[in-house]
Amino acid sequence: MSKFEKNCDISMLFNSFYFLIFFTVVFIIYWFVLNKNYKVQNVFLLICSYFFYGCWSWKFLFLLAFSTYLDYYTGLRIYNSENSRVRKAWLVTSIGINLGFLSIFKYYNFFINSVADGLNFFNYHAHFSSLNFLLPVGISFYTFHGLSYVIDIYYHRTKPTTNPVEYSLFVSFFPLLVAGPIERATHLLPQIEKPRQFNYNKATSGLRQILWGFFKKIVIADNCADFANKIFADYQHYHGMALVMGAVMFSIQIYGDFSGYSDIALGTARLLGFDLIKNFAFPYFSRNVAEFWRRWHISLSSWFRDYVYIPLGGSRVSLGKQVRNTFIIFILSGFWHGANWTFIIWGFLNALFIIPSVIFKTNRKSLNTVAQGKLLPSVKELFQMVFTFTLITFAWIFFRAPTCADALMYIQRIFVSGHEARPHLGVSALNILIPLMFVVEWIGRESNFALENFYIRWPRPVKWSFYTIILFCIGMYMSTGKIDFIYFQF
Amino acid sequence: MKRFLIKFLLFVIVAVIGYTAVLLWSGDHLSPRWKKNLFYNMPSQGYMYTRLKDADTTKNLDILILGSSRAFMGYDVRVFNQSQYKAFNLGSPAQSFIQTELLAKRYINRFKPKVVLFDVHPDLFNNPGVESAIDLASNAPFGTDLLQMAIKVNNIRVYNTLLYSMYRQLFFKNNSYTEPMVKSYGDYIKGGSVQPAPQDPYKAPAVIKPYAMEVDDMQLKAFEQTIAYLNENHVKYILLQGPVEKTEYLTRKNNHQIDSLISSYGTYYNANKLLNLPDSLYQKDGKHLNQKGIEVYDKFIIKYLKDKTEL
Repeated sequence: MSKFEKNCDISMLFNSFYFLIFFTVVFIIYWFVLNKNYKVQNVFLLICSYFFYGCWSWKFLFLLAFSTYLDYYTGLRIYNSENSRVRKAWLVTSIGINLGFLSIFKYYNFFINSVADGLNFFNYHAHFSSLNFLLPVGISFYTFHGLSYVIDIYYHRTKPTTNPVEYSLFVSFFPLLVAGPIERATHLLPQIEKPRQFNYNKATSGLRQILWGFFKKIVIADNCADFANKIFADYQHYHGMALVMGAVMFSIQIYGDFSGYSDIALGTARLLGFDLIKNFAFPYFSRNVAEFWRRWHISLSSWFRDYVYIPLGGSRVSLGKQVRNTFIIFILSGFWHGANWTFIIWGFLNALFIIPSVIFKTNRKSLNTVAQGKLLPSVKELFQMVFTFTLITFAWIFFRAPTCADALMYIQRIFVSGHEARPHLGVSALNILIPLMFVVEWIGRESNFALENFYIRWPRPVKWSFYTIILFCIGMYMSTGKIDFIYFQF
Repeated sequence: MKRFLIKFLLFVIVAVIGYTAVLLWSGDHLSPRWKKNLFYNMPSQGYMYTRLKDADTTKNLDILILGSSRAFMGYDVRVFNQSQYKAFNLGSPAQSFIQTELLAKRYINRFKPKVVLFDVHPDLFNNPGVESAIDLASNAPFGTDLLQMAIKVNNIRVYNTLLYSMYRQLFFKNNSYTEPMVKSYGDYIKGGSVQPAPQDPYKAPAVIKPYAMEVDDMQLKAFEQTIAYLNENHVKYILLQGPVEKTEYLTRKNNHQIDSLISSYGTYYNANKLLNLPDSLYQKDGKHLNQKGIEVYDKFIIKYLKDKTEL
């Protein structure tokens, strides 16, 4: 039998049966057996987190362990040293090694291919050997966890922990290990360092968030993916409205996919007594691109703001430098997503969309929630939201297309008119389910997640009926194909 | 914590009841496009309902045929009957080894066949088994074995269909149902086989990218358990790979490995090597013979049975 390639993957996806079993066992042992001693709970969670990661890729467990030890050790050395040069040397060492690993695993092939392409352009025919590495799952996320910890210690924003278990758990806590949110030591470590009490309201709120996350991921995102994948895979044969629909469907897919994942991660953590950083705040209800970026992948945006934008001078420098800094963080953000020019262009486009608000100093407008306290937005707000969604969707085309040339061709074909078969939505109910998702999100937009306070005062039978209908929608309309979470590839 | 667990369990009970109620209502009242994950497959693509009804009135066979659509459209019981063999065909569309195991365990003791012809289509080693599971869930009388099969296949469509099918059986909703005996792809023949409809003029198959067959652990285990069950019940069996289009056959890069895998479980004949049937004359499509091809192939098998077995 060894000659045959066997299909036997036990990937611990949040929407898999394996995770359900895993989490049930973890929950029972954590609260019923180990509830007397939070330190034992921490050791248990750490073992579970490594098991969880091992199910994804046991070969890269050593990398996770090494990265953890490196940042733990350098954090202590920085804190204990009074010599600024030594402190800086340890900081540079940590950043260098962390980014070195990231570069090798994620960017090496991109760099050498880009250099080779550049040399070929000038008629120097160079050939470099590429490395055939698999990308360790979650490397971009746990590397950034570690970096924020070391940098915060360097700038005296936090003290290092002397407990390696607690630090390891901060880096590898399984709900956030493979796709974030990117936690800060100042936020998560204090929660790890003290006992957790089971809280009924927190636990039920966690369950509601998980339920809504599943709905967004396996009903909305995965079904939209079927449609968007068909269009993007075969865009040469479509034009006009079909391509616009493809791009819109991808916008909805990536939102449902990533915010759904984040909801499940946050809900899972809350069931274990932890509050993780909010990662999404209803970004498609933004009135401008700056507001969108305050609401989309918040843990990454704030990471770049705190560790790149502000150290570069932030908004307290000349206008020219503000523009430069904006481009830097958006291009870096694009590059963080993957080693492909499409992501860099995507970042560049978003910077371009945001620059007018930097120049006219309107980027700090719209800090509140749209139509706060009202049922419906004004016509102006509606127009602003649609316009922002259009810009963001336009940029997503680069994010989704395999190459920049494909993205450009895709956009070009949007403006070609003609009649062609448009792929079916596949699931007719999507015509109702997508609006339903946006309506629920709209109603819940002033909360941390859509169902947090969603008609919380309804009588219990009504609330439970509502949750049962969501469960039914999941059972009846979930996609049965295997569609991974988009952000696992980063 | 206690309050949480009690409320949670209570909610689970309410949700299960609510989910079932809405599912049954949808099954009865919604059109197929609004019930994406409820594939109540009646009438079946491969006459499964009729075949199983037919099976319930059949006993003591010479030959039982197991396998996928290549079995029910590859082994014509009439050809076997002409040679004085009482045969029954339990093949069904995309029947994977998980379903073959279930059917073998349900019917071997009833049929008491002298020999089982087990058509082993290699691609089924890597088939999720969903299509056939839905077919069985829709058409077979409910039993715990169906539930076990659903758990093995682990697909929401199978669970939903099984639940809905249980309800229909419980309330005798299919009692007045009679499956049409003639369908566009072929006519049902008493004994489980299907005579393919006369096809359009033969077209050379499209070129498919060559691939190496993979083996799914669960399917392999089900295959092994079926073989073990036949051995336990002292039923002789012959493993067969029926003829397919040559291009189709050669698309699999590891045919040699497949042959050695299958042959390690018993007597095995790969008709693609033993018979040279021109595609344009004998194939209906890439995977299935036309009626002329079926007759030639079945006579070849009968000759083998007469020459090499005690039948």
